[in-house]
Amino acid sequence: MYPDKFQYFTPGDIASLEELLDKYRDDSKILAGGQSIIPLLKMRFTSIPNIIDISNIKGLNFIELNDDLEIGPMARTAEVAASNIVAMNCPLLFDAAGKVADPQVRNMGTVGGDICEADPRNDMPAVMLALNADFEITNSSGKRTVNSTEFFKDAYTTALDSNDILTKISIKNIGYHGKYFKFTTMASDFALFAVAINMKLNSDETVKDIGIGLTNVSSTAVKANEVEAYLKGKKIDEKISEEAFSKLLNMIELDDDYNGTKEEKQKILKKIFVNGLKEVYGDSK
Amino acid sequence: MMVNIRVNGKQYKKDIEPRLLLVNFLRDELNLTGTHIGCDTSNCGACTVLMDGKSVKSCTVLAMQANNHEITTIEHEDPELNAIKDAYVEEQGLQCGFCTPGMIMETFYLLKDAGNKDVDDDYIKKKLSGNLCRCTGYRSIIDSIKKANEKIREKEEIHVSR
Amino acid sequence: MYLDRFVNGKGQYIDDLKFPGMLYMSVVRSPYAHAKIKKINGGLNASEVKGFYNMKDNDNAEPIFAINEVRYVGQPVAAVFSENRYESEDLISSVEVDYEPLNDAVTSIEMALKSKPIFGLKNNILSTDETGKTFDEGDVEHDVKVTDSIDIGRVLANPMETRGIIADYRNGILHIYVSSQSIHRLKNYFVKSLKQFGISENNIVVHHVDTGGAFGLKAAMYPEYIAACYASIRYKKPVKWIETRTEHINSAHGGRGIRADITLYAKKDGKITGLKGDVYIDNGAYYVDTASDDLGNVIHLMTGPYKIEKAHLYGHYVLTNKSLNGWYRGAGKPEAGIVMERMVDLLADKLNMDMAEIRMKNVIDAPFKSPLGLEFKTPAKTLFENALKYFDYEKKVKEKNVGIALFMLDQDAAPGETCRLIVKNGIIHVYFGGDVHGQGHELFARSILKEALAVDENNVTLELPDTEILKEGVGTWGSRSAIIHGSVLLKTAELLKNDVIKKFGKYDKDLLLNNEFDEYYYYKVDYNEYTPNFNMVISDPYVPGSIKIYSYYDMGKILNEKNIMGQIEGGAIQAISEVLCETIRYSDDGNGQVLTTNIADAGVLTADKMPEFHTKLVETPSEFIDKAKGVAESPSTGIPIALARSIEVQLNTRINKFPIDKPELFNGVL
Repeated sequence: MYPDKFQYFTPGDIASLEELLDKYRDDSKILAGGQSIIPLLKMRFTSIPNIIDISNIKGLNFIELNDDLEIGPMARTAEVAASNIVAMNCPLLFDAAGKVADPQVRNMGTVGGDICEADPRNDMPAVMLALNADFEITNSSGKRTVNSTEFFKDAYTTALDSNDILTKISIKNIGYHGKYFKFTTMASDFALFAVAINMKLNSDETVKDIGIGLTNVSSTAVKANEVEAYLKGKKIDEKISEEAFSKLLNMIELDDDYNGTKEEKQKILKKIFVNGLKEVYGDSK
Repeated sequence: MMVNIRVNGKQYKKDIEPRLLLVNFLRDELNLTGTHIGCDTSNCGACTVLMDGKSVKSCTVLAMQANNHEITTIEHEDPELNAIKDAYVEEQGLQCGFCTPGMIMETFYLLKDAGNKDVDDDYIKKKLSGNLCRCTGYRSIIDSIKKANEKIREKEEIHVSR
Repeated sequence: MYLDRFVNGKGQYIDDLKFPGMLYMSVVRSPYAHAKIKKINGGLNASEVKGFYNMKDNDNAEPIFAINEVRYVGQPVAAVFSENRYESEDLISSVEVDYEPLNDAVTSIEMALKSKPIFGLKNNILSTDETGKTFDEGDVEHDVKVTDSIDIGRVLANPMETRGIIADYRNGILHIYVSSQSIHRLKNYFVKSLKQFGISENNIVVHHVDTGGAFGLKAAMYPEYIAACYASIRYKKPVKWIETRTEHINSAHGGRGIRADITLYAKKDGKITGLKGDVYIDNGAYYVDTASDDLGNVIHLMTGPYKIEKAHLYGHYVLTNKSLNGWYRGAGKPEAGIVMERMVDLLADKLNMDMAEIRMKNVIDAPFKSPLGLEFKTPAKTLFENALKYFDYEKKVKEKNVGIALFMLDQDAAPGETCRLIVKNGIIHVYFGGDVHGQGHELFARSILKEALAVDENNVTLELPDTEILKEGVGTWGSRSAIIHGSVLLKTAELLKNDVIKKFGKYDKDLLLNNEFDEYYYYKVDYNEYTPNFNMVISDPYVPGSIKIYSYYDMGKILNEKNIMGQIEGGAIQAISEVLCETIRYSDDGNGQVLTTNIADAGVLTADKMPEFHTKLVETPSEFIDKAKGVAESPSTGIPIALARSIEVQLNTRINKFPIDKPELFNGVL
């Protein structure tokens, strides 16, 4: 299966990119690693007249620790999954990046592409929500920052306008403990659902701050605000975790399908969630 | 559009359609038919090649994305790659042979990428998650990879005729 | 050697072949599971190519291109062509088809049995076969009976190389290059199907090319093949069609797809006295000859290794709005074993008996002619006893979740096989009637000829035949390769040896290799030998990666041990996926859409799902010349049975549906 025809551009800097985006707007799409968009083009689920490859733009591929952990949109998923800086400062992202798809896809695919594609089954949106990440968005009129909680609108829909480009991912909540609990079916590497947890404790072992994001439990990644609020200031034990899960249930939509009934899926999700909280809490102590 | 791609150490300059996938560039433009197509959805890994030393699925990369990059395919001549090929032959790490080029190229990458890690069953299984084989059940492939690792570390003499 | 070629990327698979001026064919397919075609405009379609492609004539045969109606998603409606494969795909959208969707699609056996006739017959059962003699419950001595309905989902062969063909009509001869298990079987189909277009047997040559796996898929005929042939004749150019994986999932023939409603009658000591029931096969939308092999195997083989005096089965071909039924690794034989052994375990539980004890009570201990019509010459009892002892069953069953399986492997030796050996320039060129697609024919060809003709293995090379160089042949399927190809090779080698002796008065390898010889033999076999084999599985569904597979297989004579192990390991992972997750899913809302969208969703597993193997190969020589016995279908039969039981014991839930479809199993979350 092959893509439909398109024009292909490789701008060398942001200004030329902006020019192209302003010109083609909805008739264009940015190509980062291409690991989501190329399969869609091949299946002809979509046809895009103008593909703009941003891999030649300098300064989009970086992983840096300044005040925040800063990641460029063209940082390959495999680079993030192998980065010492990420491992030391953001174990959740480090763990999750290593669980995206498979080695070949991670070598080509980017964290930025995973975020901007906003496929409800993609892993990075939930991780970004758990991390409370900020996204620097650039277009021809300037830069703005959008928090991840404002970014994911619906399946494949984000706060990005057709002439916007994600230029930086900033993670403030570093030095936390965290992990990505990804549950896949036997034969697939897509999450049936997944729970991202980022946690920091006070010296008395109560939760100082926690971020929880979920993959594929709704039309878009879900940030478990109420659950986070509930857990703050508490010591996590089984009873608290179960109560937290019951709050979580109000925020998600699971359907019956061949992978199980809604109830069966809830049971699995509960296990993952409760065990996950326990594990990250244990790591944080 | 013009592309410049270095494949197995040789520079190729071709005028191609932008939509041409890297796998078709290799197979149809360069007649390097060792790289196979097994699925439409980047699941199977039969099309695995190295781009700048890292494994990618050439059915999910535009040839344009490889412009000014270096591609390595199963047809490449390299002592380590040959050691891997020997190991696959000795351990019968293939049956129908269709997934084999992708498996071998991923092996080439995962052994390089292993650094000081133990190349044991668990490591290999994890790193082979992007490659499907329908014939072998993977046991003989994993054995081939372990054997290849030994060969490369011991710099065993390569003896399969080719 | 094929191994050297393949590791160097030097295989010549069908998509690797290019001919000057070649056209690529893309197929326009139905997006509907059931619809009327009101109008069609563009492409090569049924307005020009109005014909059918089956081996046997049948009122419900599938047309090459849909005529007036479509009956399943993915059915070929038209074909388009271009010298550029991308452009050929572009042309798909140029064909306008005006459909009237009927929204009454039937996508399961259950739906079909309940629904009104979908294709205008009196019901949705195309036909019914029968084995054994009917009996009344009152006629069979019994204290207990158990009844269950066992459902085995449809799966696809999904070889890593999809289907593919090049048809090249030149100088009045249609050359067909095809990824196949049997060029001769396919030639018969081509002859039958191309007659309607004025092509006769003498004008067709079928060529074997490197074949990237098949598992039953590539022994059958498909409409796309005939379309490519027709187009090559029509456009006077070579025409290539390479199936995409998406086309494979939607349109290729699917295997399994069985429901069996079975009753077992037994005495309270566990002796089974009778078996009866109805077996339904998900036939798909049209008559297809492969279905009768699949269902035939189920209803003939079911009593397997057990001495059951009374048995009767109906086999019903059920029409659905799905692609057609086809062969998949075992083609009905695993289904027969799975159904029988699931019933035996049910009976054991009902009688509170140990599962080995109940099998021992019923196992054949002398040659037995089964009431379903098969003759089992080899008793299964000795092997069963030995296997239990070898794997220490009695101890293990007390401490772990153990499942066992005893079954008769039908190796499909009949009707035999052909071989041609051409000696030229110091090389023995071997041609087999069965096409190689992963069985390592070349390995045993080399080792057998080394022994039989005292030559070096490097003097032997396996060639890919065509139907001219080898006029007759059977095929590579079942579990027959080592047996039948080994045997015919030995026989042909003997002829070569005699040629040398005749010419020179004595045999030595140099006299053979320094001269030219050409020998051919058709080793004819009119019976199938059934071999008992055994599997045991220990697993803990609460623990990922905990599946341990124990195989106790009688190989007759081991020709190449590594090769046998590879067949077992490959069969094992297919068996595991069939139990846990592998199937092709369809919507049941009347739209009949295919919900499975890629090869991973279809259930093909990755390396991390590999089980642990414990294998014991024993050698009780077979009746065939090379003494070998088959292997390929044993893991497909025994492992699902034993794995299902092992899971059932741990979960304490009856398992009668495959795949089980519980993603939490072996996933660390139970």
